[in-house]
Amino acid sequence: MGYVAIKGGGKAIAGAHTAVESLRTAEGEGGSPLSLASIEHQLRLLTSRVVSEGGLYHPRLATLAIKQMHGDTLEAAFALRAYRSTKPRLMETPIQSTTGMRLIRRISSAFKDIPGGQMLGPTMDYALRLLRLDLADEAPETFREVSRQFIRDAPDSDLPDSFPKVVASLRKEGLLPPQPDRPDTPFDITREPLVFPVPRSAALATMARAETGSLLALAYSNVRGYGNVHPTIAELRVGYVPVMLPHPVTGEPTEAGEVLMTECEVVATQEAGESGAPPVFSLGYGACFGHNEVKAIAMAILDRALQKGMQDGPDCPSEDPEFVLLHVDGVDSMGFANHYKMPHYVTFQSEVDRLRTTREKDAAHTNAQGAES
Amino acid sequence: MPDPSPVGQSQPLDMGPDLLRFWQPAMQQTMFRTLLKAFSYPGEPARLADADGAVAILATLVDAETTISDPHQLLSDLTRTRLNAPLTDPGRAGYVIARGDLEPDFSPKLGRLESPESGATLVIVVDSLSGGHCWRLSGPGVEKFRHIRVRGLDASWLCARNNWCSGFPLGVDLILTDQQHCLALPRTTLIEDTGAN
Amino acid sequence: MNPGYELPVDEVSYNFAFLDEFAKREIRRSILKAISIPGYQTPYASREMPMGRGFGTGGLQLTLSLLGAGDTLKVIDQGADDSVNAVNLRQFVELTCPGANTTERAAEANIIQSRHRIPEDRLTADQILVLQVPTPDPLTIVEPSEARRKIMHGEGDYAPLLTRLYEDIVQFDEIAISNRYPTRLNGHYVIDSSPIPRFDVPKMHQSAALILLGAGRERKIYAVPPFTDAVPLAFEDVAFRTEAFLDSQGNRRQCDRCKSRISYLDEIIHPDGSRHWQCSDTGYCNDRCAQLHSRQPEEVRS
Repeated sequence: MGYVAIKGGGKAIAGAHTAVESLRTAEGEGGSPLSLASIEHQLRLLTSRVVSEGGLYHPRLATLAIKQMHGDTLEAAFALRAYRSTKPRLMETPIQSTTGMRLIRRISSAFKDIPGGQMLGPTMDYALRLLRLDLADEAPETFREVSRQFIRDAPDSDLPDSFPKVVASLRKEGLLPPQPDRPDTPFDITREPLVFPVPRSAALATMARAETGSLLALAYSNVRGYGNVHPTIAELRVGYVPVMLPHPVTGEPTEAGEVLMTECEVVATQEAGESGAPPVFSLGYGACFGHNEVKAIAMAILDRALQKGMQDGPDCPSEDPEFVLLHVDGVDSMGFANHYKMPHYVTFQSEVDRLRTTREKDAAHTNAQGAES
Repeated sequence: MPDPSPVGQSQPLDMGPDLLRFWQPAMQQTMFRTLLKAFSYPGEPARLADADGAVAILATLVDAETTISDPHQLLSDLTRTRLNAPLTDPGRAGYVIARGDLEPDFSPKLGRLESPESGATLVIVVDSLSGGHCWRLSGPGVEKFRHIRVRGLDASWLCARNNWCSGFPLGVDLILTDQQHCLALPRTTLIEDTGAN
Repeated sequence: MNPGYELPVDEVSYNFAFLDEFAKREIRRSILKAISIPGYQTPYASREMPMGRGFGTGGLQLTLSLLGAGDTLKVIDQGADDSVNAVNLRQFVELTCPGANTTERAAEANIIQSRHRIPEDRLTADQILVLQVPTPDPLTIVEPSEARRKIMHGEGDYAPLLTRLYEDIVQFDEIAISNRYPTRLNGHYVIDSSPIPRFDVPKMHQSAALILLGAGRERKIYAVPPFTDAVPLAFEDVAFRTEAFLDSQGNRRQCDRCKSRISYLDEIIHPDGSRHWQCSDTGYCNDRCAQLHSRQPEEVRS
């Protein structure tokens, strides 16, 4: 056997790419490529998830990422985030308000009825999770008729475009602390590393693009008992937030477009008001791109938990900012888990050397002891 | 060049042809490698530019994410605009540009124990780096010893700098420039006055 | 969604070296501070790159901030230029840095990016070494909180780390750390030397070349400046020991290809079960093989 220099890394990578592409197109003669529009509409919640975790509002590119990465949400979010890195920052928007959100859904658990009403909107919450076998072989004509029917049946609506916030009425009554007059400059997590302790805006920004499952597990741990947030949803909204930018010539705030967002405000246990004021509720806030209700709720619970942790010190993992914020980013955690697949044979050789030496010393000791006895 | 008389008004530095070239990516990369070499081998002078070296240094390091101070008004309004860094007083800035022939009349940021990197970088404009007063350097980046010569640096700078850097890891990092060359003196460098001129 | 919207399919062009100029400037500022405070983990924002966190994005961002047209880069992983990860990184640089060259020969490179090895041949003052780091903080094994670790580093409080090493000695009669050996720079900060084997740690001491270490996921840059004391932690009666590569007779093994008795060796298990040893640094090994070949008339099988 010759003493071979092991080569072929470049060829292996090219081969892997070919294999990946062949799986993607394995339908062969009967198949046709997914259209990005189909992914964006028929897999809208998947698209929302990737937009949210990628941290870049570009639903069409998110669908491309989903298609390219075979539906892996971690990889698709990663691709979107990497794309974001290539774009120069033109400006920072002024702080936007969600009060002008063009709602598609809006509910409150705290009150039976709210100004503007409870709008169930497009939710599967109260649907039965029975598999619909009629979707297995859906005909294009049936598919299109559903949409046509909806538009035909849509009533003339005199609903207003936007609705007041439920928390506004709680604030008016003094049950929630007042909003600060001039909000602090938000922490930019894309420009500055997290160095603890971090302000609340850094925690919220980190969670807004965090991996949904990670946030869910930690929030669940808190409400199940490793923590004591007892949340009631004051308001959950899903809709399109107008993005207001200063007009390039006049400087007037002008709507440049809109982004689909989910926002959740939870009211949690009473706490002593500041400086002898009467006790008030405390607010947990969650918001993210796309239609992601579970993520927004989890985020609001964790926001409340972290605020408590930052103030009184953490009593459980979900209240510890370092524990939560450093472990919920999907791109970071996925990358590191994956990196274990890379070659580690030099360090492994070092470990083997260690182990052999230790065992030799151990054997020498045992022999010496045997000789003595 | 700054007026050598101690009471004289500072002239803004960029009198040469338009300095926009210092913001070209290729130029920034070249400038940075020069500074990197300077910091890696303290005291080793490096050629920067034909002129306006101080602006070249700042253009390479400073932007809207940093703060800058110009207590001796060495920068023109145009340069300050291009640097785009918030202007503040020298006790709070991350980057300070100053005349070397004047006594330092400020106390720069020295950093904190948990974040010593917030100690300031001082860009000091001197007359010459190829003649003048002699200092002996040792420490990281210096194989045994190195001697440097500086003209146009007030005698009190050495004492002030050594004071500021007496509590490692706190301290400041210096870049000396005669507009065409530069050398770096990070806080780890031990500087002794040889007394020689 | 605007129905008239079309993807910018023709718009794929990157800034030189992929990163935007703001990202590069921030990294460059951090590098200079890292050199000024040897061993201090300087925080930086760390952009997402098109390869995974854990695959060298920290080292890569350093390299991309250094590189210009006319530079020559060598990329190795486990000492090998042809390792899949090194190939991937090198191809990325070739794609995004027109005018920069790449090479497999260390002597031709002025920038070397490496994962888990320092090249065998001594580096010169005209070269810069960039090491990839997964976890930058040697205190992580004794303190999980970063906020507390920063205070410990600032105060030079390494007692818990030394205690941990001492516990190893009591239990194993040796310091049990195999790689990422804690090393003290300039008498102050203790660094994680990155997953290089103990064998390579002495190369950091009084090196003529600058060594930069980048952790992308952890968002830290630190440096071993040239001509700086880099001392692996040890005790008076328990010295720092490198991998010995001794065979059962106590003789130092040699590389089967180039016969070197001083290089770090990879253990290769052949299909017939026999074990063979080859240099981990393939560039070094290839150079030596070429020299042997030119000196000896008979073929050296390779």
